[in-house]
Amino acid sequence: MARSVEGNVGLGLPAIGMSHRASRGRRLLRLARTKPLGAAGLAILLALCLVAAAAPLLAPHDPYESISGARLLSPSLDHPMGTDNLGRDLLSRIVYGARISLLIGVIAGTLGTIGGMAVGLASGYIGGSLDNILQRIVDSLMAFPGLILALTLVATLGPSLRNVLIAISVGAIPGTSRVIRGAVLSVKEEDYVSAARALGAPGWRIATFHILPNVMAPVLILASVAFGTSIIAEASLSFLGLGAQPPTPSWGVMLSGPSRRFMTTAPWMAIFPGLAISLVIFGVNVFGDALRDVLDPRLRS
Amino acid sequence: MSDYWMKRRVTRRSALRGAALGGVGLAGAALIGCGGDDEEPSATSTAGGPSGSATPSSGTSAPSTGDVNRGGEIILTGGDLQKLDFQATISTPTQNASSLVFSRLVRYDPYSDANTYSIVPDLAESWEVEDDLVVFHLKQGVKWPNTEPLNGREFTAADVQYSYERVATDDAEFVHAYKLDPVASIDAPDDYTVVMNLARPAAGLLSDLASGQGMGLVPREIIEADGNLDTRWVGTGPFMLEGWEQGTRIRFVRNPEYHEDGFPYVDAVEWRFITDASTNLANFIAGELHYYALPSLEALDQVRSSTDSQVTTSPNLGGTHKMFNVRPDGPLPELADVRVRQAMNSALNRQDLLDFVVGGDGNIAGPVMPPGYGRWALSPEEIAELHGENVEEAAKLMAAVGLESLTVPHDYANTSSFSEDEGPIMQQQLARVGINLELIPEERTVYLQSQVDGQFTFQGIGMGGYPDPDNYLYPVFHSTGSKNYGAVSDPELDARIEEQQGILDEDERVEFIQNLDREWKNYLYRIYTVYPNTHQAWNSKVVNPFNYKGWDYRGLQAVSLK
Repeated sequence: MARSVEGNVGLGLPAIGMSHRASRGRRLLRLARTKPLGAAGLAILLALCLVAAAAPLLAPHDPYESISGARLLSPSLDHPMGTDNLGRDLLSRIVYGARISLLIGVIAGTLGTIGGMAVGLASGYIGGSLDNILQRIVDSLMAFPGLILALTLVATLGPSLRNVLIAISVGAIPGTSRVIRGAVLSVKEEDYVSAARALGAPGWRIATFHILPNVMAPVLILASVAFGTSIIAEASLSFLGLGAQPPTPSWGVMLSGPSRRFMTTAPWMAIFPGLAISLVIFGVNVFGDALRDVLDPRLRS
Repeated sequence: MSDYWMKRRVTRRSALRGAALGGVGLAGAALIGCGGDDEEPSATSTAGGPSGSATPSSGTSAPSTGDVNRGGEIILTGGDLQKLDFQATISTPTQNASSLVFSRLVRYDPYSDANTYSIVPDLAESWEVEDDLVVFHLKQGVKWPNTEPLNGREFTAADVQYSYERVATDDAEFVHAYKLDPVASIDAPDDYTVVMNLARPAAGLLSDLASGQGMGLVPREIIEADGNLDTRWVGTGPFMLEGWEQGTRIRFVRNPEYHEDGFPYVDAVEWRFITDASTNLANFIAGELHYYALPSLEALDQVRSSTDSQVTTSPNLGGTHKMFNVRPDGPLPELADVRVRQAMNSALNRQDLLDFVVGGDGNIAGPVMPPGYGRWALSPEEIAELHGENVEEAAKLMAAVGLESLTVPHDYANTSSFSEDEGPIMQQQLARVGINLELIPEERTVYLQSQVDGQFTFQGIGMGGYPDPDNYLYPVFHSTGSKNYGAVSDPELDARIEEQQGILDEDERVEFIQNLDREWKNYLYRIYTVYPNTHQAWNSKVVNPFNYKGWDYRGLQAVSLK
């Protein structure tokens, strides 16, 4: 009976009353031993967060400042990643670019996940015509590859970081809603839901307090995937000129425009932002794979 | 700067005019040819072709027709044409390509140095200029191609009349009409004489007619049959259009009936539509292109270090200007106050812009005349004095206007790497005086439309090179100018522009223009920062390369390959 409020059933985790902190720590250690790649991915993402948070401390220069006499300098002690065609320190721009990536990853990932949860929950629990309408809309949106959908939305709204955030969030909703809807359809037939209904609980309360906690398991996976794909999508859209605009130090912006013009004379302008993006993509992919491996078997059981 | 076009004083003016209007054209032409002892020589008839004595440019010269390796094809690169009807479009690729197929009355000598715009004959062998008319004498025996519906007929004065009357229309589509504003009417008293009756003296008219922009001479029969020139291109130029694959290339083959014997030397010219600078540079270095206007100093270094290309470097006539929208009901009414524009102008450090944006490869812009204008422009010392950074003055001006801060949207075409690079630097510089420059790159069609609609605030606008100051001042700044996108309406400036149009003495006109330059801070409807140098690079296999200028690739007729 307490299962419905504990929220741990779907995960097959120990019931409330045991030492969560200790069991969580043990689980993490087990993860690191059995999934070293996943641990590496997690470390990369944590490093991203750390770099983003500590940007003012880590960046040796103002990322927007053009330093006199420093145009197109190759990597050196003064400028470890070199400078660009406008004399700006690349290391500083890479560090501050992490903030943009993190910002987009967290906000767009969260909004997309929450939006998907809301749609999936409403669609699965209420059912009927609403379910039909919502799922037909989701079908239409899922017919587009995610980046194309985001690209279309940004092209309509206008290029800016804000609109990229909106577009990526909207793009994440259909996939999330499908997963949540499936879980809701399964959970809403459980006895405790029927019992709550028989006791006269209103629909919103049943959905919020009895169903939602029991469909949270896949949300963790979806959120982590959304975080990673949002970062990649932002870099892609900014590279295409639809996201962050110059002189914003977004990695995607840094990879486009001048870095291509100076590819043969100043390749570091493209190498370092490219490496940063590649590293994050790698981290997201391997961490997401490890997370699925750890959590999915528990869901099946 | 270019030699000024020459004029010839006719002592029997009334006889000349009477002959032209009365239809006794042949007798009038004979009278002109006979001229008295005190008359100066007729307007330059220096031919750019094989039989003349063309003025050689630095390192190049028009060859004789004897010992030349004929055949082969020239490969160029550039943007795609938006449409073929060059009289009804501003598109630079269209204008450039049209210069191969369509002749003009006069043209710029491609063999003078890159910043000298000598005017030489094309289909007009000679001409006379007065305050109220210009008379052109056409080359005889020039034929249209022997294809329907022209059937190889002779080119006549009626073709000139038709061509320019088509351009000089109120239809907004014909964007080059402003060049013929001074022309009240055009007469063709006989097959080889064209008389342009002027509404006002026009010091820059001949320069406009020589321009490759919209001034080609077109076939009436084709336009009447098709309604436009968008389907068939048939002209009297050295090449004929073979085919246009949109998005890929446009190709021309030699015109076997070209009126200049012995030309062209090559069999074909092909333009490939590749706009990516890195790709073009790689292709040029690999020998896949015969000509490339190098986009940067870095590109020049690479070409010099890895090829034996022939490169000519010269100051630019054109560049990217910053245009204010000064409409009283415009998006930012504060810009209508000259003190705000002065503040923005004074806050800029042009040396930094030169160093960062183009790596020092160029010149600091003058107040209005580009450095490539030669004697028309002010000296670098005077420019530094008039145009230097003065942050203190800028701050005082902002205070005088009562503005602590001002957000100024700055839009530009997202294809302009110059604006993309310049924007952040200007942003930092203007921030020192409380001006927040908001950078807005726009898709090109949106950007172009915003100029026409007046939907911009402070825009980076690319302007080509105009050899004569009037070719630029009048359309851009006169209240009736067709390129006056900023809605400038300044009676004092109008009067000055009109005054210089009537000054036919070059020295006097140079001084007038320079004074306007010195006093430009009183107007500042556009501001200018830096002009990158141009670097014209030719493949080492090319013999007799020329200096591209004024939307004119006609020099390709005398280019051959080793």
